[in-house]
Formats: sequence, C-alpha cells, structure tokens
Amino acid sequence: MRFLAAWNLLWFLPVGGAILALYILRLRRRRVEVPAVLLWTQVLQDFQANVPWQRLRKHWLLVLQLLAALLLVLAVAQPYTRAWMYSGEAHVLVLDGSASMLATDVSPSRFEQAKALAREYLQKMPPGDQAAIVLAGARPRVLCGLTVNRSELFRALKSARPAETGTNIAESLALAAAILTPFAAPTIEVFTDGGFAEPRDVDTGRARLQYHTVGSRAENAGIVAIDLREDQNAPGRFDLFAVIHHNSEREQRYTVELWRDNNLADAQEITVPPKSEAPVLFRQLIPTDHPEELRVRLDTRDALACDNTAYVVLHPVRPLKVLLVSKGNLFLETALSLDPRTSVEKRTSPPSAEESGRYDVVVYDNIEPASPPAGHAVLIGVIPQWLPVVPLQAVENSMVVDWHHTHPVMRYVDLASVRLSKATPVLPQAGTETLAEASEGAVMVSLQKPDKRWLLITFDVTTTDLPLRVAFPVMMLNALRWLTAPSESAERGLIPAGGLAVIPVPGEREKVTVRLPDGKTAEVSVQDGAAPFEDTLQTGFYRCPETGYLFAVNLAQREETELAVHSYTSQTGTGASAGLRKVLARREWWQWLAGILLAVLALEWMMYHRRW
Amino acid sequence: MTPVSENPLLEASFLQRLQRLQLLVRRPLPGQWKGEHRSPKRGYSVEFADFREYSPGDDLRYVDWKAYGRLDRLYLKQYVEEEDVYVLLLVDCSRSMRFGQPTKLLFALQVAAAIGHIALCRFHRVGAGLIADGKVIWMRPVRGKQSLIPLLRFLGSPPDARSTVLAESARQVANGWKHRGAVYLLTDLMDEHWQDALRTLLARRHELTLIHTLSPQELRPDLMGDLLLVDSETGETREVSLSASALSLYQRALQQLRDDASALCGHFGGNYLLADTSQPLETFVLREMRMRGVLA
Repeated sequence: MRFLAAWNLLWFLPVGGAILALYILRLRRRRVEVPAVLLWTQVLQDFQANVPWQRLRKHWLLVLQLLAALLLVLAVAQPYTRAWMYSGEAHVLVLDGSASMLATDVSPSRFEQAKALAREYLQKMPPGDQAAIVLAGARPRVLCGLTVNRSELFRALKSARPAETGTNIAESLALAAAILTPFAAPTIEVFTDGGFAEPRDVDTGRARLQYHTVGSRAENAGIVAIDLREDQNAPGRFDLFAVIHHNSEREQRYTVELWRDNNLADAQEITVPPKSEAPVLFRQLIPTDHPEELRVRLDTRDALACDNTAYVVLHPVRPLKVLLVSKGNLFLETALSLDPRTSVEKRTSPPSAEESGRYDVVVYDNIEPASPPAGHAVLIGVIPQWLPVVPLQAVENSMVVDWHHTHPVMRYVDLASVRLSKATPVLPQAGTETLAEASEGAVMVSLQKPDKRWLLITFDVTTTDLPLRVAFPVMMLNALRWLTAPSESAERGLIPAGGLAVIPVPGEREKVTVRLPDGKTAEVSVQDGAAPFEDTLQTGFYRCPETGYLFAVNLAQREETELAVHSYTSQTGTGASAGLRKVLARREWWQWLAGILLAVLALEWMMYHRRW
Repeated sequence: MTPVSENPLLEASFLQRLQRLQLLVRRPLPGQWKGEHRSPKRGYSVEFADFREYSPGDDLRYVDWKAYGRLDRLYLKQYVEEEDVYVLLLVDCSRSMRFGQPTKLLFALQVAAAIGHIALCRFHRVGAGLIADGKVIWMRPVRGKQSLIPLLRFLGSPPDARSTVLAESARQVANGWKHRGAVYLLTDLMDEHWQDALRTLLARRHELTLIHTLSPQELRPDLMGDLLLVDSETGETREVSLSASALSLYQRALQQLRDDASALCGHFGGNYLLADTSQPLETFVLREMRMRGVLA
C-alpha cells in the first residue's frame, strides 16, 4: 500500500496527543458525598459481574478514540494500491448547453431533462467504467475529466448551466473523441435536442456515437438578425434592422418594440408567414451625445425567452478630420469629401508624428510616411518595409479576382473585374487580413492593432478603373468608418453570444472589470492595450466601468430559435466490440477508511453513553 | 449532645392530635402495672381466658358454680390480664442520618417522639436509646404524660456520632433492656451487618417495628456522569460512572434491601415501614403508620 500524501500521517502525533490530553481531563470526577456507599458498592459489583473487562472500559474508549484518529489520518494520507481492474468502457457525456436547451416546452426545461437523462445513464453505468462530461456550447468545456468517481461526476453534472449561445457540436464531439483516444471501445453519449445540423464529417475515431434526444415540438418566435446602419440618404441618422423568425405553422402577428435606454421609443406590428421570417425596420434614429442602449423586443410569450430581445448600441456621431497626403488625386479627394461630416485637409509632405495625432485618419497617397503612423492610416500605392507584408514582383494588367465580402470595408462593394494596369501584390503575414486579391497575390490588406488600424492598397488607384466605379467612394466611406470605429461590429451588437469581444483599454491598466448583463462582474487582463473577453455567454449589454466601453451580445441564431428536435441515428465506432479488459489502475482506499471511522465513532459513542 | 433543631420536636397541636391514637401491639407482652394491653398473665379483666381446676386458697368468687352443678367438680374461671407495655424507642444517630432536608435524623427523632407521646398517653412505660458509634445512650423507662418533657428533651439532643455499628448496638440493647416489649427502631440500615442487628433484637422476642428512614436523595438519586462518591461515615470513596442503567441497578439494590428487611421482620412477627423524609411528618404518622397497623 502506498500513500498519495504520506506526510499527512504526521498529523497522528498532535491528534493522538490531543485525545490523550482530553481523556485525562475527562477523568476528573466530580466529588459527591453520599450517606453511605453501601448500595453503590453493590451496583459496582453488579457492573463487574456483568462485564468481565469492566476495568478496561475506559481504556476501550481511549483505544477506540485513538483508532478513530488513526483511521482519520490514514484516510487523509490517501492510501492506494495498484490493482488490475476490469475496465469495460470509457464514456464521454456531451451535454448540449446551448440556448435552445433553455426552452421550457418540457418541464422544467430541456436542459434539466437532459441532465436527468445523463444522471440516469451514469447510475446505470457498469462499475469500473470511466466517464467524462463535456458541456457543448459556443465553445466546448470539460466539466469533469475521465474518472470512475461517480460522486464527482454527479457534482459536475449538478453544476452544469446552459448558456444563451449556439452549439458548436462538431468541436464538442472532436474534444470528446480526443479524450477517448487511448480507449479501445469508448462511447460518446450526446444529450441534446438536436437543434443543429448533423455533424457527419466529424471523426469520432473508435468511439461509438449515440444521441439521447430531449424536447418536443414547441412554437417559438425570436429575433434572428439585427443590424444598425447609417442611413445613406440621411447622414448622421441610423436605421435599425431586425429579422423576426418563427416556427409556427400559422401566420402570426407580432408587436415589435424599440426601447431606447429603457424607454419605449417605437413599436411596429408585423405579420410573419408560416414557418418563415419577416424584417422590421426602425428608420432614422438620431444618436444622442452618449452611447445609447437600444433593445428590440418581441412582445410574445413562447418556449424560449432569450431570443425575444436583441440588443445594439447607438454611438454618438462625431465629425471626422482626415489629412490627405498627396501630390493631387481628385478621385480620392472627392471620395473622402462625400460625407458632409468629414473635413479633409491636404498637404504634399508626410506629417510629423505630432501633426498626425491631430487627425482621425491620415491617407498617404503614393507618399511613404517617414515612420509608422501613430494613428489610423490608409496607405495607397506604397509598401513601407515595416509593414508585415512581403512585396512580390510587380505585375501589369492584372485583375481583382476575389475580395472579402463580409468585411466592413467591403460592404456593398463590388470589385469584380477591376483592372489593375500596374500593381505590386504582397504576401500577407501574421496579423494582417486580406481584403482583395489578384491572381498573383493580395492587393488590399488590413492590419489591426489594439489602438490603431491601417488599410494598405498596394496599387495606385489612378492606374486602375476603380475610381470610375461606384464601389470606390463606397469603399472609401466604409474605410473611414471602419478605421475610426475600431470595434464597430462589437458596438453594434454583432458579437454573437459566446464570441470574443476585444475591449480597447487606453492607458497603462493591467486589469479591467466587465459588468455582465446579470449584474455580476468579471475581471479581465489587459494585453497590448486591449482586454480580450470571452465570457459572453449571456445576451445583453456589457459595460466596462473603467473605460466606459459598452458593447452588446446577441443570440441571433436561427437554429436556436427554430427549437427543432432532431433524433439522429447512432453511429458505430471503429473500435473493438465492447468487452472487459484489464488495466493496471490505482485503487484508493480512503472511502473505506472513512466508513470504518464512522463505525468506530458510533461504537465509541454507544460505549460512552451506555456504560457497558 | 447538640440540639437537632432549634424548634421543639413536635408542635403542641400535633401532640394534641396524637392523644387520640394508641399503639397497636399484636402479641401479648408482660407489663408491670395495670394497663390497657393484653398481658400473657391471667388476671381480672372482663375477658374470659380459660378454666383451671380449683386448688385450695383460690378466690371462691371465680369458681364456676354451673360447671360444679353439672360435673360435681370445682373449676375456676380465668380472665385475661391487661397491663402496660414496655416501649423502647431506638434511634440511629450516625452521620448518614444527617442527610436530607429535613435530615433523616430529625425526622426519625420526631417520629420517635410521636410514638413516645402516644405510649405515655396510654400509660405505657417508655424508654429510649440513641445509637451512636456502636454505643447506646439510654433514657430510663418513664410513665405518664408528665414524662413527655424529659423524653422530648432527651430526643432533642442526639449525640454527634460518626458511624452506626448497628450489630454491636443491638447487642447492647439486648443485654441492657431486660423488659420484653415493643421496640421501635428508626434507622437507614446503612450498615453492612444490619441483619445481625435485627436478628439480635428479634431473638429477645420483642415486637420489633423497623422504621426504615430514607431521604429522597437515597430513594431517587439525581446523580449522573463520572463521580467520586464519598461515604459520609467512613470517608470511603467509590469511582462510579453513572448512567440510566447504573441507576436502575442502584434501584434494584435498594429494593432488595427493603425486601430483605421486610421479610426478616415479617418472619419474626415484626413490622417494617419505609419512611420517606420528603413527606410531611403528620402524613407519615397519622396516615402511613395507621395504614400499616402500627398505630390505631
């Protein structure tokens, strides 16, 4: 027998000594004068006649107490033996912890029912089998590693809580398969409502995959998309766009409310066709002088509550100051001046660091800056050496073949067949993002740092037909907006629940706190002027009190709002057929010692009170 | 000698109530003077006892002439003699009797005084003995109501004794008290040789009434836990760990003591009474003793 914590055995010395001391103290008897001890002598004789070892009675108590102390110390030292044990299977229980599991179509909720099924599965699991529990959310999380300790598994199961996020089932299954890699015939048990596309391309290896489905058919409506954009016809005003989706087989009317800073601002009635969706638009919202919390609320009571409200932040609009460093570019000048809130200044030589600090954006048109810009910048036709890109060989008569459609700079921008008479493609390095590329390499690259953003256009725009297209002013307008609103997507509530939010932190702070929608706070470490925050498991507004930064997190997932219940068929793994196999395992004995300790204490108690 | 109580042993009103009572002595006992109790002697009362043949010199007034007419022989009618009784009050004055509230000793002395007063009212001869440290301090027999004061004075100042040594005291009583009579022994029997003592007294053919005087602390001890018991008489100690089961064993031992004492007294025609000192004296004397046939 060995001990995991052998040094704990030393505790017997103080504990045993304390018992002896207490025992000696306890033997101080109270002195009582009686008329005569005649009758008491007879009582003592009867005692001695009944129990031959009566004289040892008090010693027995002492022995039992010392034995109890010894057992306690032994248990604390965690004795174990190595023994060949039969190991039948290893199981990973994947518990779907996504938003749809919060649905109350079954009592009390799908998630609680899934937990009950998982608990039942653990209870029926053969002894000797190991199990682990993985909570599948936006990111899978291991609640309990592989263990044979059932109470640990039950504790982990009890502590599991669902999040208002989507399900990344493929990643969860991959994690489960990775846990089970050493085993010959393991199983993955998924407890879910099946509200996701069946992950057919996930390789679970030897593991057998089995689904346990919970939930029933429930009507639900929710907001599956939300966006806030500046009205193109009314600069400085914003349109709020939301999409309402429902799974009802009947046409339904809903009231959609718009709340601004907890005040009802507007409401619209919309009709949603059967099993379909309908858009709703709140037009020309005027920003105030402070970041404003906008809530779009669907006035309905259904099985899932967390998708009935969507959140977005409306920031105040401020004028932009742009410095154009150029020897003359009419197209660029015109494009930058289209927005009446933008004031453009021009000069022909690169500004100093102090000068550039006075502008929101500096645009370098075929003029290379002397040093890396301290703020946001657009570099056109120049490729400075300090940029993390590798210039390739210059090409002529090339063409844009692809571009990043979903990037904010490329929104509403069509670069199809833009001809480049002269360009120097680059090979982007780490930290950059390609926005447009020719067949030879990237021609537009964005670079994002915590406190600044740069946009690199590797070709001279005047040597292309881009300025003649509608896409050019739109792209420049987008670029200015993206450059000056570094976390635009986050501010507009486009962070999906469970996604990563990057909180800009000016100054030299090492940590900041984030106030969650439920009022709790979390502490986040700051790295390079930004605090990456991953704990976006609730929908709603998150605020950083130190910096005043406000961002919104939304569910906005059709799969979750759909509340679909799918029963997927089990998949047989490639492992050997399930059977018992012997493994050399560590068997801990502290539970047995604890049981014996309890029995000894009970015996001691009885002896003390019954006076055997 | 120290007074056992600052107040008189018995209240005047209680003494008055006692005057109506009499001692119930079952067996005939010889007395000295004419009295109210049946004597083994033949005498001149109204109660017929027996016939015997006439012998010269007999009083002709007691010849049964009707028998002479039928049988032609002279027979003399005999009548029961009624005499006084020698009453002896023995009180155990050991240290163990000084327990309880009131103390067992005070209670015993009050009971003894009550019995003595009843006996004096009925013109019996009353003697007393205080048992202390194996000796008996005597009070010579007295008669008549006027002797109550000396009796109360004697009983009111018991010796400050330590131990009992009941058997030795009983031997002294047997040797020192020559009159066969009614003996009232008031003790707690906290002596290893109490049976020898009782046998010694009963062997003298006294009518023995044992009044077993115990305090509530002895009848229902309120003790629990690990204790060191100290004997008040000998200073002897006993380590005990008392629990419910130990107390039940004590009760069993106490009951055994009472049963043995009662059986021994009953076997020799004596009487046994348990006196719980927690009850009022009046209740014990006027109710308990009458119910148990000691008084009438």
